[in-house]
Amino acid sequence: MRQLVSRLLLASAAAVGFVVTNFANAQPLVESFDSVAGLGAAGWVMTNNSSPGGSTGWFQGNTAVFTSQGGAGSSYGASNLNAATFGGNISDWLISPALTNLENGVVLTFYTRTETAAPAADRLEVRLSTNGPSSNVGATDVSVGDFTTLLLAVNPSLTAGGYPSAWTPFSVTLSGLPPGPSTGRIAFRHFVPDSSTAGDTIGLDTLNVSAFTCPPPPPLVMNAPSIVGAGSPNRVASVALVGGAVYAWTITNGTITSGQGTNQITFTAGTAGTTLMLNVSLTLGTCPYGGAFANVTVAPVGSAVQFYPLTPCRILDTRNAAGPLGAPPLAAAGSPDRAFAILGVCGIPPDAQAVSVNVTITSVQATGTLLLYRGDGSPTTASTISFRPGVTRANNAQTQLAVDGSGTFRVQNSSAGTLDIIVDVNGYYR
Amino acid sequence: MRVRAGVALLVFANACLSPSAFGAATITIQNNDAAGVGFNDPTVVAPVGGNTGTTLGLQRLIAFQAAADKWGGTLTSSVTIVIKADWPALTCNSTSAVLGSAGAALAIRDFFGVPVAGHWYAKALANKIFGADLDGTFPDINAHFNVNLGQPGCLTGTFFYLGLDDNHGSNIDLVTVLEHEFAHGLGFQTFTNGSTGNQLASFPSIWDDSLLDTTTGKTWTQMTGPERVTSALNTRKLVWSGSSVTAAVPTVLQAGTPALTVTAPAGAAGSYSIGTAAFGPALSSPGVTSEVMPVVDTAPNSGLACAALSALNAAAVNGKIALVDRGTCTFPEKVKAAQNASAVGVVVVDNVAGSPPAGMGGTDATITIPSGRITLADGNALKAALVTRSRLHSGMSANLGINLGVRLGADAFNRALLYTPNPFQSGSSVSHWDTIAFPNQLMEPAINGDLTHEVTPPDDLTFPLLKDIGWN
Repeated sequence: MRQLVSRLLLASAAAVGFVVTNFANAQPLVESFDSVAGLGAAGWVMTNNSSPGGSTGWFQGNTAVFTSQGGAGSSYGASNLNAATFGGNISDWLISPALTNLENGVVLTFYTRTETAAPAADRLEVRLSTNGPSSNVGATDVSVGDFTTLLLAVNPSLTAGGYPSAWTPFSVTLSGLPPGPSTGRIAFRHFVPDSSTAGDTIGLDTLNVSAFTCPPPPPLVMNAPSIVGAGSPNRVASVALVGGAVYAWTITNGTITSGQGTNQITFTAGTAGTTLMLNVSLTLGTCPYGGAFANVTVAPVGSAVQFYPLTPCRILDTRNAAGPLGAPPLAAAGSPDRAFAILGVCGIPPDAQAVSVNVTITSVQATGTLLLYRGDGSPTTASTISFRPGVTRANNAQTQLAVDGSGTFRVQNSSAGTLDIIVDVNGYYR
Repeated sequence: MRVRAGVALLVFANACLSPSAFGAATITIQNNDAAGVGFNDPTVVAPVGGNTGTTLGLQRLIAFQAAADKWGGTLTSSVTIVIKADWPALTCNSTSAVLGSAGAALAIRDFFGVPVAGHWYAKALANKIFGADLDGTFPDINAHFNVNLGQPGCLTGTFFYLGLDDNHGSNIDLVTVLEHEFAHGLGFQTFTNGSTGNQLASFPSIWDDSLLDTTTGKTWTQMTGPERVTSALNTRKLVWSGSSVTAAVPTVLQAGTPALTVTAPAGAAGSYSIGTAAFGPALSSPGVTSEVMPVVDTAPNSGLACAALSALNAAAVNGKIALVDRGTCTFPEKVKAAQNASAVGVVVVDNVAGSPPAGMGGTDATITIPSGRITLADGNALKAALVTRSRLHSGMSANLGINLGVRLGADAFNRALLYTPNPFQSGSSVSHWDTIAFPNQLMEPAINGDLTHEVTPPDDLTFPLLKDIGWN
């Protein structure tokens, strides 16, 4: 028996596999601010909502203040205290072009800094709108319009010295968006109250909104029988559950009876002699997310059996209280053979074809033999266990279960007296 | 005390002709006064300063002839130059007066042998080039001088000095004034109207070919009317491009012009005129060179610096040339506030339009840093170039001091500056040298007391200019 189990497991591993796919599917945005004056033509929007408005908005970097993170010295965008008049509140917006494929996992990176030893504090907010191409930020120094999602803030509390004085990278990964791509814009807002006491100069450079990259799929193994009987129903195949994924199953030489779209299907096998091929492909959002396949041998009815061990578990004991799997004890010969329905008990699956059990008899009244047989079949002349009065005995056995869907086996008592029977299962075939 | 030059096309009846041949050209004075006045005033006077006349009228005539002879000895012409002169009552009050006015009596173009076709020439110059009198019905120059000067209500107490020795004291040297006015009549003027931009009968003056606007790079001949109007107000950016003047400038004008010289950023680079301060150290060479940083302490965007500077403003100007705004308090108070914040120099932006920038009065013996005033327009240009500054840096690099590369009254290329104040001063703008010229020049719009009677280098640029338009 042990040798048989090993061979079957090996066969099972050899018959399945997994598929890996991974590709980008969102537009990137790269901006190095070589020409701030040219941003408008590229779809950027600048809105200075500072109050009272000052003499400048976002402008080309001034090399005397600091030089760029990359490119020519002045190749960065900047906003400064002059966005508002003296004592005004600064709210100076630089808004990206409309991006049509914003979705969870998209990564925004950029560099920012203020001048060395800046004597006045600055703050930068990075905000998101997913309201299509809208660049509405309202009309006041405190309004945000459609840009209600604060992705990130640099020096949010306007701490003195809290804004980096050297180019520092920042990164934010979009999350919390509905599945699939959204159209929207990302905005940078120089946001400082009272320019008489706060606000110096901030620079923005080397901006990158990543092309959306589908996450790498996990290795996926299909759990499926390596051999099934021709026409056998309620066969099960499954793969690991991946949150949010959609599963697409295909089958040849068989029929999927339930579970399409989920990680587990039930199928009915086709004809013997032809390989039954199972395939599942996963989709996560807009991303293909790998898949798996299995080739299943379809054998003639009755021979397509594979053993599945179980931790030994008691499935019936007639010494127990009355019930389908309890009292009364087995009646003497001449009474109808009692049937036991054991599907679902002790992990025996609904498609189990046979079970491997250990049978124990006790409280024997008369000498005789006991036979376990298929619930919808006829008893044979073989015996499962022999006994005589006053002796408790045990033996192991494999017994086929009813093929009529009831999943039962029956017990025939050939003795003239009653006896109790205890059955422990240690595996099943299907 | 403004001497006026104008284009006089009126013709007066001849009264007296007093010919005189002197040097290479002959200049005669035509006495256009009625009996008993002006040249005919019989008031007995004592000879003065080499003027041997014994009546007021005669002394006036002798002074006229002395000025005429100065020009006659300088210029060359085979045609007699006729100056029709009289002594009317010109505009004046107790503190200011029009001393006189003169101009060419006739402008002539496209005469035979003209060097440049389609350009107006003063009649005396046209005659000289042509070799004969082109129109004997006109004098060459009309000249009028204020008969009431010095009388009560007419620059009271300041008279014309009629001596020939330039020893005028507190009075006004008539020979100098005459030389100035005669120069206008000889061609030291444009016939183009600087306030409207209109050319005389749609033709440029020969003078206009040498009037170069260094902002646009165009001469007045090349400009449209509106461009000329703008150019006439482009203070210290309108130069005389003629080669004779340019060659003479190094020997006539003193090196070293007070200036704020901006070297960066490129958009603001240039030399900005400075009105000097009466307090603190005089501007010098090499002066102070640093970054320019504005003080901003008053909404919406001005920096009065009338109190101790805030920490942010103090950080801004520390070691820098501070840019502050005129108004509310005195110039020394502003400079002192910046000095206390460790500024190395101060530039005060005027708060009213006008150019060139005036000086800054006041006293404060504790001020140790140089300062100066720039015009409102220049200040606004600098502020526009400063909008990309941070709290500590602007990238605007400048020198506040004396620019030895620029002579007083010329640009960096030794081209003499013409007088182009804003607002326009009719009769003075464009047809004079800029008042910044030093040593003082005969053809500045105001007669300075230190002028000599010389009209040639190394003292004066008047004759070089006349050479540039065709005299020799």
